[in-house]
Amino acid sequence: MTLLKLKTLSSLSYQQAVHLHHLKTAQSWNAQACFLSLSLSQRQQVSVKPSVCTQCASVHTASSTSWQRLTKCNLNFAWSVSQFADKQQSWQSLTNCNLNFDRSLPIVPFKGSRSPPPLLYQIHTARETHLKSAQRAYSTVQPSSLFVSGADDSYQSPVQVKLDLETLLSAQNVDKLRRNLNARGLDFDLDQLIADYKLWQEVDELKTKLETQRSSISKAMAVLVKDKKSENVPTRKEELTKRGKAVKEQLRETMPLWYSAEEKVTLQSLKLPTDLHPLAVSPEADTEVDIYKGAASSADGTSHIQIAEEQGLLKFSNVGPRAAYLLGELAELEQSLLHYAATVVRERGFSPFAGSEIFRTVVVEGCGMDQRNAEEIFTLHQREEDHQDINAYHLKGNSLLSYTAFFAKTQVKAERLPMKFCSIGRHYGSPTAQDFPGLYGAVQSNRVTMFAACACGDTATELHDEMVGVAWDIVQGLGLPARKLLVSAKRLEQSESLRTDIEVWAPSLQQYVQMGHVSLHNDYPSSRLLSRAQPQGTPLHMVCGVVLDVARVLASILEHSGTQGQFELMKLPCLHSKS
Amino acid sequence: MSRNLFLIPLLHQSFPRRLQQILRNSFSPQIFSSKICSVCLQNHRSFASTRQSYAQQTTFASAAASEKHESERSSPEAVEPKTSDWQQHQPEAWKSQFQPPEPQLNWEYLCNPDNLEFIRENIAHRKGVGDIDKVHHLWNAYQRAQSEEEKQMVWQQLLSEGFHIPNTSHPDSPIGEESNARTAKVHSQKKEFDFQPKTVVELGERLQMLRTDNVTMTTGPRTYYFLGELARLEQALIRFTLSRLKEKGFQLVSVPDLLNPQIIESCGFKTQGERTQVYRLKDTHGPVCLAGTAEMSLGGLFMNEVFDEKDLPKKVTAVSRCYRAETSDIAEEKGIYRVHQFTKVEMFGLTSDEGNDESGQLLQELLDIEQELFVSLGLHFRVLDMATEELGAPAHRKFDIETWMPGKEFWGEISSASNCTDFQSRRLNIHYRDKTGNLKFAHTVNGTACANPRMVMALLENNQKQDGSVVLPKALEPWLGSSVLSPPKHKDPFMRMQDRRKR
Repeated sequence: MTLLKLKTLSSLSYQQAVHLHHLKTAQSWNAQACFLSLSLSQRQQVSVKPSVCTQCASVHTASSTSWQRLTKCNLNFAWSVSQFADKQQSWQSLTNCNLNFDRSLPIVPFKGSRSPPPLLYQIHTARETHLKSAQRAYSTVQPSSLFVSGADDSYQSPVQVKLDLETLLSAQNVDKLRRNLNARGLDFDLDQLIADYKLWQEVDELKTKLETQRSSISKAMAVLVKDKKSENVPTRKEELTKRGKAVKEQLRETMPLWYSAEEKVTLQSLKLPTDLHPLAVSPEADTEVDIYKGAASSADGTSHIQIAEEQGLLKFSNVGPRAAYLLGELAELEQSLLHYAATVVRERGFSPFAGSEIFRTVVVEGCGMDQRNAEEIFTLHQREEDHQDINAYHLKGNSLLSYTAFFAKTQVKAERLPMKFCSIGRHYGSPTAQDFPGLYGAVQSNRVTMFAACACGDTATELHDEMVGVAWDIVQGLGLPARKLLVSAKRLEQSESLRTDIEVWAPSLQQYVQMGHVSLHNDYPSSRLLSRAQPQGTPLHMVCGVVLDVARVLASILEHSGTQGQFELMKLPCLHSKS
Repeated sequence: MSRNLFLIPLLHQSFPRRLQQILRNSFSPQIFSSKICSVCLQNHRSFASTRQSYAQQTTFASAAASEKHESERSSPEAVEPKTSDWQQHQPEAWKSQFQPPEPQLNWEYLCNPDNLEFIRENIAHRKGVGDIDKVHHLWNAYQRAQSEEEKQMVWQQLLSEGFHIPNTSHPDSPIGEESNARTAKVHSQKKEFDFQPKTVVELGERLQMLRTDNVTMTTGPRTYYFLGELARLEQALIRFTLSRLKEKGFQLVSVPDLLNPQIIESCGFKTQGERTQVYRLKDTHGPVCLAGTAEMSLGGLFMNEVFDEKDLPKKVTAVSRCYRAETSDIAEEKGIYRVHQFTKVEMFGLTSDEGNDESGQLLQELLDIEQELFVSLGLHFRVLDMATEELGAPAHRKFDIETWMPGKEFWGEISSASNCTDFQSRRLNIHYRDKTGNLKFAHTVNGTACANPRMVMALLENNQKQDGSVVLPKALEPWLGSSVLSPPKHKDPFMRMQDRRKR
């Protein structure tokens, strides 16, 4: 497997023929005066700082001029190897991007007799190295919008999160954390994080020591400058200067270590899930808490796709990703259902709220979502800009994000807590291959959501129960067979401490389908997006849920309405009794 | 120094000794091959594999990603799949690739030399987009072309040039720029205030129902949050409008907001270029744009459809979320006048074209409905017959309705109705069959029934009282319950956090 070839030509300039898939097997490296720095751990990132390179006769991808333009770049090999080689053009526009060599890419065998694999390239190095180019190279997780190292002055995080690691990684908490990770089935290397944290603490100690030394030296120097009487002042001055220089040099060498350690630890710890609620810790599988039989229906298992198209109530189309038009009676029903659910929620003390559908990356990450995952969230196209992967816009709509975006970087007067909101609006979910057919797997759906923010965990748990009550009442008003499910830790999101799903029966799928849920998020989003109670300054606890996902409910209603060829939209108790 | 930097991933567990080693500048390259390195890699590997799946999704996930990675867990929005073959049960329409219809332009009209001067003049009146001379040139080249191949090549060019020739203008439409618009009607009078009326932002903030600052977590400026009664007012306006439209015989349609850019282009809007108003998703999601108005989505609904003449006119309405990548920076439009996303109730109609100005009549009908709605809401407004430069490419004639915004003292557009004649139906392939069975192009007409933040703005600013309260029109009462918005006694509970400065 050792395909990495590093050839030292001279101490100042080397030529490296690097098969970048196999960097991890690097055997030797003389890093002096080299601008190419490699992280040999998980992400295999390469950071290149070729601004000083003047003699790049690079093999096939970069011309010497384009290398010079590649200032401060973090290059991400996101394509497969051969694709990348084809994209010669892209070299010229690759400013500030990450090249990420993914191990899962097909391995191109490198044999002497054949022409070199496409990713074999040569880089000439120059005399100097730059601190900033190095800082990203050591981070073992991808850059995050929540935290950007102080060593990188080209971009600032809008929140610059600092988690309380002392508590988080304290001996008492580590066991709990381990149980949490196990219960969720997360493959997170906690030991590594703890080791890294220790390392950071030690570098920090050293840094503090050096800083103290430096200041005491400069104080001593100041005294010495004023001192006109003592003997051998010049000698002592010289001595101090020498010591000062040495300390400064040591500090200069320590800082990059400190920055990288800080960044690595912070980025890793941001990936830790929130604490599990006691109710979510034990069960291996989802627990059915309650069941509602629903009104008598004569569903024969025909799919709503067939029913609705026959009845002209629905038109599926390819004008957009999984586009669907609701027509006539069905569109009217959608409006009535939205109004019904919103009214119930409002009457239970949730105040109406209308926000945006588009969010910055920081909100997406702050809620524990992976903005790079195209199956998780839609990202908007942007013109070429710096730090695109951590400073983009994402389309999500009515969701936890709507509320956390509102509460981000905001202090709320404690006496006004808990605060309860509800919202009607569009939700957009990026399609995946696993989605259910038709409206059950719709990309776009109108939703009624509710949200509560409060000061402490106990209140949050109470609010969770209250909101589950509201959602359960709403689903019963629909008259569809439904169940209430306590979700096991394995299916929880990073930001969820506890989740209760409300599901309705889908006759055509012969299973229950989620139409709502209530999630307890603890202080996960607020500690990342800086939402605080005032004056205590403690992060808010958040509970968020969906009480109605109209597309899924409509699909279920349609399937419960068909009776042996006779079709009549079922009369919903909630709409029928009121009108 | 760089050699130190290099070691970070390797520095753990036995750190203090190594740190000292490094700081003494005494390490040798052999460190690299030390056991710790391999241990380190070993340790990372398990975690790396979970992250790897994310990375793969990042790079290769597309809208049609077919494989899900084992390590990926279901989201709260997704239900745990019990089978993986749901794909084959998806509607047929979702399995097929979108194919835009070939535009069926009126070549007989466009390429008739007798019309050249007239069309050239029309283009000049409409901001000069489109090159009719080039169309004629290509038309001639097409006629002369010898081989089938050449014909095909010229035809494609001809299509793309012809695509951008604007609709004809109504003979009564005033010629020239926006200020030439003819005021067709003015309804009621400006409300007199015995105090300096506040802007909607001032009113909303005092009511603690509107936030327009500290919105950087979303689309930034031109974004807003409605809280409490203002969010309800928005819903009430929608329901009020829909109930009126239902009485008028409009059929409600719920539309998708994510559209193939070709649909939007066919409706006569540009999706490319620096100044485009259209948001687009990243390429990994496929060619997808966010609709700027339900007119686009409804155009997509009727694409490739053939109607019976007796079923026309067809009148539909849709409530949709509209997304616009606005770039204008006009001071009076700050606040909630020109925003990136808003909810709108749109009217859309299809008519026949039997020489009785059917589409013109429907345009008038939509205009009447709009006026009726705004009269019920007690607004002072004016109807403008828009000048040719403001018609865009698709409209044959367009009426805007502007209401007086006392806060910043300007006429703000709250509605617009256009007759696009056969411009959109020729590009979207929308036909009807006349009584004798002939296939003809339908005409499309559209109009705004309620554009939300502007309507909220007009209602708040025009109905404000000196104490900052607002008395909303009676017409909304059935949908709103109470009709008075009063500033609360307590202080705003939200405080913006100061930006942290970096080290």
